[in-house]
Amino acid sequence: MIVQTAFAEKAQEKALSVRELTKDYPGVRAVDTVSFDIDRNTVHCLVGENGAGKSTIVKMLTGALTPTSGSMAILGRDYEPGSTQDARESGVGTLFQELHVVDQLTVLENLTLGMEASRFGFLVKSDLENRVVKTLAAIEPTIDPKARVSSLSVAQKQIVEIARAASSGASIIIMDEPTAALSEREVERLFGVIRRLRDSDVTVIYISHKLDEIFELGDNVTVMRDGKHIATKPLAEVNGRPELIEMMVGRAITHDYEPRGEIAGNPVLNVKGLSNHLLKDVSFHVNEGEIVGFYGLVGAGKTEVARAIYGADKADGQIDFKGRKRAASPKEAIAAGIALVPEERRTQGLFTELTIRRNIPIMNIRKLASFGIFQDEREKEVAREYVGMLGIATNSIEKYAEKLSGGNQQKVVLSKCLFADADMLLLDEPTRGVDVGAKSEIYDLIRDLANNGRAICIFSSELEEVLGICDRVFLMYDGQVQATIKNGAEVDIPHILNVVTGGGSENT
Amino acid sequence: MQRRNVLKAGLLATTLTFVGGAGAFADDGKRIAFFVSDLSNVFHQSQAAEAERYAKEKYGAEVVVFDGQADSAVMTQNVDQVVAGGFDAATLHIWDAEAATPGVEDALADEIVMTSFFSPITDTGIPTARSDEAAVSFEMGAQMAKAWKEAHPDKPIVMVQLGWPNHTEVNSGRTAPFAEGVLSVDPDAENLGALDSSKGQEAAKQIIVDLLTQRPEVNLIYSEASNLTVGTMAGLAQLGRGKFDNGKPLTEIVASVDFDSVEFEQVYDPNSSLKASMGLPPVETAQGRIDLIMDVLDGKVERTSDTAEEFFYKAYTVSYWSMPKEEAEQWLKDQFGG
Amino acid sequence: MTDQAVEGRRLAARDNRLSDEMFITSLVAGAAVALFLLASILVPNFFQFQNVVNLVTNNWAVISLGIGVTFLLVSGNFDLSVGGVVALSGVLAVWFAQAADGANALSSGWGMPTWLAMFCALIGAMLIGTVNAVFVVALRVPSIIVTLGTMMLARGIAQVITQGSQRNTNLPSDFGMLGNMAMFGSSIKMPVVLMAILILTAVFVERKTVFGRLTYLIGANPVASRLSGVDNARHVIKLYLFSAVMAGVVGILLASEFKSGFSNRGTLMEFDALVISLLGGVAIAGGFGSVIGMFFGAIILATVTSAATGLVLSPDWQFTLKALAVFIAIMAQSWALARRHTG
Repeated sequence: MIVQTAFAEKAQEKALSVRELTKDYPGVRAVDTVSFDIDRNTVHCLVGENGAGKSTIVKMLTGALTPTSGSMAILGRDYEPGSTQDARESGVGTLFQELHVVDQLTVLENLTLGMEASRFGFLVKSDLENRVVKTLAAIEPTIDPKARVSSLSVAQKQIVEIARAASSGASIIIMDEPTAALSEREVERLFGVIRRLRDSDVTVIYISHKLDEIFELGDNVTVMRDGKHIATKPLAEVNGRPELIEMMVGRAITHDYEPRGEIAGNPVLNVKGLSNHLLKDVSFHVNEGEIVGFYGLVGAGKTEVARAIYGADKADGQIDFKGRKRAASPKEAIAAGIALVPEERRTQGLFTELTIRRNIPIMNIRKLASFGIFQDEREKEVAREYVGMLGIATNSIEKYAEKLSGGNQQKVVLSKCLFADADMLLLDEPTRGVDVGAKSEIYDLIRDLANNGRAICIFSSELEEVLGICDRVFLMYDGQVQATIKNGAEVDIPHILNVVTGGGSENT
Repeated sequence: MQRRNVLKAGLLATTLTFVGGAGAFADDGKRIAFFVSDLSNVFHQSQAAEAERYAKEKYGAEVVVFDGQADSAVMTQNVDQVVAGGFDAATLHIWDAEAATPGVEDALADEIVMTSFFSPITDTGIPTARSDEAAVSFEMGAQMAKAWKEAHPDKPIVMVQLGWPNHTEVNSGRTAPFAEGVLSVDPDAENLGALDSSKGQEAAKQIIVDLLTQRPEVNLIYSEASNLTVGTMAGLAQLGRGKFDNGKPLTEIVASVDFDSVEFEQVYDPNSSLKASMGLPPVETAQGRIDLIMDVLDGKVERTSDTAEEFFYKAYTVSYWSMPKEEAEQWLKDQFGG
Repeated sequence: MTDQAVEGRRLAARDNRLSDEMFITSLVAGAAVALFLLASILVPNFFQFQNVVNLVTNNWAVISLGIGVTFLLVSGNFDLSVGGVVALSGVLAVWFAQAADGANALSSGWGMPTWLAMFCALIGAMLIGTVNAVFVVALRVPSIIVTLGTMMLARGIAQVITQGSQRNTNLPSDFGMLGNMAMFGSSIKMPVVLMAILILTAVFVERKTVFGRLTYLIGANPVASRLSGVDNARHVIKLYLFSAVMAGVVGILLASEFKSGFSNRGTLMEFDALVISLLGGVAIAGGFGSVIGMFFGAIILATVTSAATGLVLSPDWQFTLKALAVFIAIMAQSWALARRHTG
């Protein structure tokens, strides 16, 4: 009886509770009055599509963002982290996707790094070291504390980071896509570590796109969609992948676009057996005037396909664009009539420290020069023309690109491609970080371009996007095109999600 | 190859017997490290060439020349090469004596004969060979002051020196006695002091142009090395100066150091303002430096003494006023092989 | 007025202002003038036209080197080899031109006519530039390491040819013509006029040509420029060759002026060229800066040097003063730019 009472008490004391949590961005409510609880000593999974609000919640939990409204509590006590440092001191550790270990130091030095000063200032060093070594041995005894971190694998480095969080007294450890860079065996090892953590009084919040992992590892799951909380329940009560997927995508995806299926134009791009470090034997074709989509999760190989066609990365296989040989460099690709809107707008697509006027002609800069001398007046005309044509919201063509909103920045990048007179556009995540209004303008533009005979490839990790605009969709997982679907009213969304999360493939 | 020198070395029988008795040296000729501060200087080129020739001919010794590249750090490093390179003796030319002291002491501990040229090496007490520069600098200063006063009794003398203001021996052998020489003629002469031209001829040119634009009244210039004088004269030319009127001073008089064939033309050109140069005799200097080493090996000079023994070799005042042109020409021929 | 309207007006006002580059350039030019006036108060006889002329004529060599160095810096690359190339090209020009029948090794050369000797020396300089380009572009070694290496390589070759010293005898009589040619009947020499022409050309190239635009693009964001179809590699190769040619021309003209090939010539000139570029507002990370700024940076440094000479300061003080000027100037720029962006 006594035991039962104690258990009940413990169960009431939630590791983390979130109440009516809301985060607003200008024009967007990223997280909308979300409430859920996380039980102590469980692995709690957080799932949802891109843009569902998962990462915003994680950022609020780790103190990187401050909620617009709502509250959080750890073990019943109010939790209002003002910074990541605050979060760490309140016992919330984070395993980031990019690692924060120091390669030149030993494992032990990494584990004690910065602790003497902050948290254990009163401890003598050897006590601290003993404690840390014990923690590491408990979760992964095969790592030698004296080994230099540079000699460890990525997975082992991750474990060192987890051990650091655990030994600094974290009661909650958040892991955001920890298996993205791991091999299958390493994933198993990490899961072992996570289970041992759970058994030693640590709660793990686990975020992953890979649904299999969630079923294997998780105790409970919280599903998010469009910033809203859909459900929190034990995974044992979830009826397999289909139910989880259904919760994630909801019922219907709104179509304001009538997909046309495969357009019977001349094939302009033929790709056969494209392979490189990430891609495995990718083959497909695109017809004139067609909009095709590449849909898959982060790391599925979409960007790599785009970059290989564009000549930006090396790859084996055949790429035939309008009967020409493949481009060996972006310069050749542009000359052949291919233009790319890269994945990372601010670092790859745009020159943020230049003005709009200077950005627009870059991909075809010689068109504005005669005998090597630049025609400033022509450049201004061109800039004004494109600002008007694409509806870039600015009061001056002399505005620095970094001062523009995401949507307007993307329109500048699109202007660059259009000025290059491309016959084929490769659009990698064309509406990432773009507000709803600009998004639909960009979609309209893409349709216009296709109607004028241009071939368009959209590489996106947003299902709504590819289903909203593409005629055909290639589903990618693990560097391969797993299936091709014709877009239309009868599209089987659970099937798509099943394919792109690694649930096997069959053509529809 | 050095075996062939054995016969010649017979001339040195006494030395060899003595040294052989000491057991420290092989009997087939010595290896001598011959330091020069800067091989880009014609004087040092001649000196090095003469040392190689003279040592081989007279003593059957092999001379290896070490170029200090006008960089005191290089010179100091070269000292360490003496021990490493298995030399029997060295005659150093060092600007930073302090830094070189440990190297010299190591070499002495290895029984290597160490001598110095130009500057004594602090308290190591090794014998030092020097040219008697101070007397020449003084004499040039006095001659120039006299010539200026005769031509322009109403224009006060303003002098400046271009060289190495932080260098002790340059200071005591050139800068200071030159100023004393000038002051001995005209006690009211103004001395602006020494300017750093250690970067070379472009620096000397730049300094002359800057200085004489702001202080056009400067009229006695001591350019303390012949390669600096190239820059000095180029700077003067750019300002429309650097001229004499048929032997009479117009705007300034220039003195140099290390008289050579290029300077010969100017010193004896009655229309150039370069009128005097210290004639450092490379032949006599090189021979003196080699002889000093041999004297030490011979026991005639102590390896070290409490205060370094200094041995002076004559330097010449080559001057438009005091040395006839033919004599200067002959001097060049003797010293630089014409 | 609504907040948005206020914000709009603020942005519009900013867009009408000078570009950051023009802002920094005017700042540097202003600083150069202010410094000159300050020196005029402190140093007797400093304030005169001849002194202004001296500031330029004394520094034609380093300013000319600064043009190539600035273009490379703007593209995000260093060139520390220019000082070595100055020495090498000068020594080569003299060596090629020296008559073949000299009395000793240092007075005999290849006996080429002056023009051919100078042309071949320029080829030698371009070879060093080619080495820079190959290692930086093809092998992707950081440019600061590559050019530090070629700096020593070039000077090393010069030292081998001159046996660590200089060659100055047995030259054709017209060897000194180019470097000493007086222009317009004044004391201004041809190299100074050449520098002025090069500066003007460089400003034109930088502001008005595709070549100039590409240089900025590559420096501002090499990833985006490649994805935008710019052939970064080819452009940087051209820049290294250009910088080497500039250094070669400077070295040959200096050799002509002093009628000597001197293996220690141009020592530390690479750092002077770098310092005046940075003083002139060129960003060390690339993508920002101008040749005109570099020119005024050189004037700032020359003003300090000239004033120190006029005051007959000791070398230690001269050095300290220059270091201080460089430090203050660069700090002031970062401060002004930061203020401009937050203000």
